[in-house]
Amino acid sequence: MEQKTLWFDNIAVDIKEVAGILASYSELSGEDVEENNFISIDTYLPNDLFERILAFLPIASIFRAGAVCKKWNSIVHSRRFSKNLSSILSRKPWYFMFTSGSPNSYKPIRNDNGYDLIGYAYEPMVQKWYRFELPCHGTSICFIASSCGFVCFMDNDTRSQLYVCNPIPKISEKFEIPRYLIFSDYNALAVSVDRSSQSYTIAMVMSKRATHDFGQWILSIHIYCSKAKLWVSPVTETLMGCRGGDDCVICDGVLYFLIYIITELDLTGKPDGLLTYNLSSQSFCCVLINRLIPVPCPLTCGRLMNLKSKLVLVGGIGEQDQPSIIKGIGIWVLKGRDWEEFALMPSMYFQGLGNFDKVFASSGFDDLIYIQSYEAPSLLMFDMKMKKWKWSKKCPVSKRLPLQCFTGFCFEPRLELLPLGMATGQVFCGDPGPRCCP
Amino acid sequence: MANGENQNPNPNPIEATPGAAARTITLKTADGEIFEVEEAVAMEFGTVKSFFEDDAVSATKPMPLPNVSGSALSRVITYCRRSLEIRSMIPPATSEDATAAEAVQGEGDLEAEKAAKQERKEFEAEFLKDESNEDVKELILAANYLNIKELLDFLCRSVALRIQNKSVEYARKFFGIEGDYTPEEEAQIRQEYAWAFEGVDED
Repeated sequence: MEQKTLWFDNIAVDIKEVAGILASYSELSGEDVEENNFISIDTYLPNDLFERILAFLPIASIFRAGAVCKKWNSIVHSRRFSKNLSSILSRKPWYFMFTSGSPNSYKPIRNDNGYDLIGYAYEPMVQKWYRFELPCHGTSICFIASSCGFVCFMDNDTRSQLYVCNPIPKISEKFEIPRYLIFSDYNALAVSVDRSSQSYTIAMVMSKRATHDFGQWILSIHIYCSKAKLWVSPVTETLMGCRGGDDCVICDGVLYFLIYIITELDLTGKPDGLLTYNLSSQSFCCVLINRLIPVPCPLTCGRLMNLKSKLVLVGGIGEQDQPSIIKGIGIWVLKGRDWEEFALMPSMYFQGLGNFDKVFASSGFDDLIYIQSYEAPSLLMFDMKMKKWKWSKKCPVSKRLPLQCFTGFCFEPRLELLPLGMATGQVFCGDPGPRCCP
Repeated sequence: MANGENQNPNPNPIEATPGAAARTITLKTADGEIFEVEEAVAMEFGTVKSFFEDDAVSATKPMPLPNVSGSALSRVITYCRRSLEIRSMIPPATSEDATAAEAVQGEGDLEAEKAAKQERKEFEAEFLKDESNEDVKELILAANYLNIKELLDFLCRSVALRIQNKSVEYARKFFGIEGDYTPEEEAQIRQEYAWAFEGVDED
């Protein structure tokens, strides 16, 4: 009874503000409620309809929805809601951009919660940049990978800690790695998740200088399987004049990583080819060169990505004899053992990236690739499905010091509080709020 | 409540497909309105479909819809009719044989799909243009009760669009919800996700 009177009060308020009043509503008084059948339709929406509506909202609106009332808060923070989110609406990956003294190692800012990496996160659905603080642990960290919704950082100081973070609910966890796995000169990491069985696999490819010159490197592959809770190191190889890189990707159960050739003229190395390791069959050819899939052209900077189970390579196209000149950026898809050229960046976008060195940051997920130059906060996007290039809105991030560069990575937006409750270690949460966690 | 005057005048009659005849299903709303609807359209309603599949019920007996008003049902029928029309613009999927002729036809299909998508976009934009928030809510409840997934998803998406950049207070007013947080609790949420509260439209 009381409820229905309240409902009518709300209706009256709304109608005054909305044009196109239905005359019948304004004539009814409280007493008529029971007599007219159609008025007794409960226009309080049931929970599952709220859930459905909220699932279509951009992520920022979802968090605002949590402030509407306690019921909505419990809906948006429920396990079921965050699980179903991506099945209702496909969400493009976000991009986190920040400034740093070097593109590879960062110094987070200290605050009350510990350390935060401060930057801006871009939500492509609404084309907005949000000021974001990524929880970090340590005064000097290094980004390792963003894979399957986990953003992984390594602690530069001890080089033995791995931190896994979910940027949106600002949750991070320390992930224990075995004592013998001290991070090497080059570390690549990839995660593969099987959400149906709630299990995941972590693969790491490490390259360590064996001698003082560029000559000898030790490449090792280490795999962690969450079901067995076990680390294995199936591969340790000595390479002459070449090494692994700092990114790797798992695609359909196969681990892919680039091999870099090092010469006297180019001690940093440039991408030479692709190697694969089959995670299920665990086959790895010992004679590396035989199984190397050469890169499609002289590359100055190569990034591997898993885009909807396609192995994609984004790279700077260099001149054969002049490795420091980059004349374009290309996107290739691996088909069997061949590279198929998928797209070339049109020159107007290439010019738009500015005068940049031969390196640039690129990352991608699902159908979207992000490319940015280290010199400017402009972000370029490539839609794989539509084959379209587009600039994002300019990022408001600015350099704190003149010699800093802009860098960033993309991540899959997920709301789940814990990254699958990864084994061992502490869980670092953001501010505890009035949040219901069923 | 005479039958004739409550029948929804349909500005876009569906071409009768051969063999389908003019089978209609009668629906009776909560406020006593009677609607005679083409079978194809009525079968878009999951609730109606299962009602007639489960029982060998005579199609002439009006099916009661106690949770749906006449105005809502009329809008729902308009939507489903139009939706069926647009879907019929796309030719059915061709067989698996890969021949040159099929490849050409595939392109034609792509064009048809594009055109259908455009039509749907325009139609949906027009459909909710003059609806008040209350009307939309009523439609959602009707689509939910009648179990019409496509319409329900469209309506939910539209409501999400209406509230997505608005304030918390706007969302409360829209749904007739009373906020039950203390000022301190609400302030805490706003602080925790400060980034999400930036750049919100003025009410």
